[in-house]
Amino acid sequence: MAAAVEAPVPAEQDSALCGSEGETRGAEVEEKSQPQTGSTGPAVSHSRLSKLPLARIKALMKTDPDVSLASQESVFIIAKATELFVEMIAKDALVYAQQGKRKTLQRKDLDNAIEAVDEFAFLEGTLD
Amino acid sequence: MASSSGNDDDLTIPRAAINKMIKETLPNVRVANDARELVVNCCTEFIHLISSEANEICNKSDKKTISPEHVINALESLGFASYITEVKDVLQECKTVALKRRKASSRLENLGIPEEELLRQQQELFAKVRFLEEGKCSYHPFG
Repeated sequence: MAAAVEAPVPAEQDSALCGSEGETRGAEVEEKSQPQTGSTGPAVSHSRLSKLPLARIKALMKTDPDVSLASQESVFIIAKATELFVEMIAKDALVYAQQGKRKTLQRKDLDNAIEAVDEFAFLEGTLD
Repeated sequence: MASSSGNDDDLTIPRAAINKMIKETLPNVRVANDARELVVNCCTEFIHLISSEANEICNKSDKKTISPEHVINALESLGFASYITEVKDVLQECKTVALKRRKASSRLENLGIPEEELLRQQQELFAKVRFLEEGKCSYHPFG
């Protein structure tokens, strides 16, 4: 791939999907055009700052027809919030597994956690 | 994993990413497969929840694009205020990286060689390569 001197290679197709305000271009961290395995979207690999693929999160957001444009930074912090969510629900579920004297976390532990925590109420009925 | 379905609504966070996060959070715990599957789907729901709320907040503001501020307010109103501190930290990192990047690219521009000149040099190099390649082809070893 020719390393053109013109502008660092931002994933332009990516900022076209989301509104790009001036400040958000900079938030496209680590966006080299590396192919990302398993990604359905443009080749935006996750940056070292996020464990989750930003392109996938953006794509998920866009499946909601009401959702308007989102800045790259917003997608980014949603990614981070999702990471925290996983941590939280996993830890909560673990408590139930331990109560049941099990070493394996099971689906029902997650169900219990969902029921017990108010903030997780939106999850009731997920994957029924 | 090739996505042949093309159905947007089947999108989820990649299983591997979830597995990794679970492993990091609960290092010595075995997790049943259907539990993992549930986590994957919960993530999808979570993302929809936050985006939707952030979108509403955005609509009420005079902006057309969802901003980090909107997302943070959404987290707050949905009961995830405990996430805000960490989220803000990461946002700060993000901005710092962006700033460094902008500085770096402006440093590059200040090398003293104008972009047009660099492009011209690049074109020359390409032309040379093409010339050499063509040269190689005409000396085909198998006659």
